[in-house]
Amino acid sequence: MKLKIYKAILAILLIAFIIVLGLIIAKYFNSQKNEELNQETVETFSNINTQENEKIEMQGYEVIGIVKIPKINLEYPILNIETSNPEETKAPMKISIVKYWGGKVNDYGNLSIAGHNNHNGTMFGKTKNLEIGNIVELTDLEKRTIQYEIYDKFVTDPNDVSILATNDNSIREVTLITCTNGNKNRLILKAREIL
Amino acid sequence: MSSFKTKLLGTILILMLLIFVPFIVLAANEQLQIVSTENGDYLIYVQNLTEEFKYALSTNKDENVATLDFISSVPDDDGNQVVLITNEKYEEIKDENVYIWIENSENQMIINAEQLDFSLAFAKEKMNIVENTTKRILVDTTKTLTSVEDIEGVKTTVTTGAIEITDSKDATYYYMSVKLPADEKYNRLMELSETINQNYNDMDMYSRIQTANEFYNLYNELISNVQWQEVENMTIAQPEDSKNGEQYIVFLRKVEEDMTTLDAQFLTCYEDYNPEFENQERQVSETTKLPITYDSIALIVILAVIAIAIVIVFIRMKKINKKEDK
Repeated sequence: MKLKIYKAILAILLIAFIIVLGLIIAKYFNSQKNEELNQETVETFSNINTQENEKIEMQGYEVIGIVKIPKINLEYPILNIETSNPEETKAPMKISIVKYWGGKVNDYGNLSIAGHNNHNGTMFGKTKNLEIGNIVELTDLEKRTIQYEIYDKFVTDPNDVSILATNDNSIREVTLITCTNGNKNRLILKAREIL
Repeated sequence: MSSFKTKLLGTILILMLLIFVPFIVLAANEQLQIVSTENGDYLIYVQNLTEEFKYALSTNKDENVATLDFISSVPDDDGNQVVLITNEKYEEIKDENVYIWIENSENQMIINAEQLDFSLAFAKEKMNIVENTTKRILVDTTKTLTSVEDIEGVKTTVTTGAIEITDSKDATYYYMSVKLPADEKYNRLMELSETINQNYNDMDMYSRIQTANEFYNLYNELISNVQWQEVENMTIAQPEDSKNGEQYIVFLRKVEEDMTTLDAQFLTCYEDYNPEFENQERQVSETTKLPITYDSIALIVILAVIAIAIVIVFIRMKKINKKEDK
């Protein structure tokens, strides 16, 4: 009798295992597909016609620029999401890096962009390896690429929105945001235009 | 004293006289301002002399003071004490060298045998021109022009000062703007306009005439050299590349039928750059949290738990099987 019960439990566990494994594999393939899509979008962006104000979209979200960090081999489109509600940013952040706060890419002032801290190293999964002095490159819709140098790296709590603010309207800054310590904190990297 | 020393002393004295007398003469002339009126009278204002005084005229420079006929000054229309030389009197003396002596109310001789030069007289109507500068052509100097520009990638609202002509719309207008600092004459004209604007009412008549005289001569000289360009849409923008607080002069010309009117405005540039950060600042107050960028490992944890559960169940089943075999 006991054996029968255990056999039933085992069967259920095996089914559950297969389902969960399937979900993990699907997530992995989706991630890979997403990475390919991101690379295609980056290439498409480099071919846009700035004179005709050509715009491109990625899964319904407008692409407003490209972020590239050579040190960690990162290059992603920046999506314009028109919201600063953390809940509403979840969906687009599964696709690419998003503009969370600020003006246009390469505008004067502070631009804050956010990306997932993926365990497989995609999105902002490797930004924890960045150091002060590393370079971040932003390309805007006019195809102008400006280099920013990281000058600050720190961890803060999710309620610290002061990092989004522009403290000096006369210089260009970019703030990279991702999670750390599970979802308990945020890793912040601040970079300033190299003049 | 030797002959040589005498000659030397005499030469030195003559040289000193030649050097210093002109200064004395000039200094004394600077104490008088002569104004001619429309009816041909001449009014002479004396520097720093506001109370009634006495004066005497003569065609003989060496006249004995005791024999001079001193008469009292008279008030002009504004109550300032002046030497009045009527048209009739002027006609009598105009072809002669005329000298003036002036005693103040304490019988002190403050002007002694000074020659009057009526050719230096400043016409009263010229004073009116000076006092009415900036008022002859009606304008609104508070107007601003706004444009939206892309400055270094930032959409910026640029507001600059401008002049709107509010005078007759049937006339044609011309202008020339001069941004300061420029040629020293333009700079000086601006200084004089500021003096007139700020201090004119507090000046005595002598000072007013002196200032107006200089302003008039400079203004006439500069406006006669203007390169006129036609005003469009009754509006004149401030000079390009102007910075907030810089000064500029705008010369104006109005032509209506056969009449030409000249005028000028003395202005300070205004500019304001307003980058589009307003939306950004509003948004800061609306968000209270940073985005959620956590990559959940729930599936992996669940898989691990299921795997451990499978192992446990499998071990249990093995134990039960062994017991049953025994």
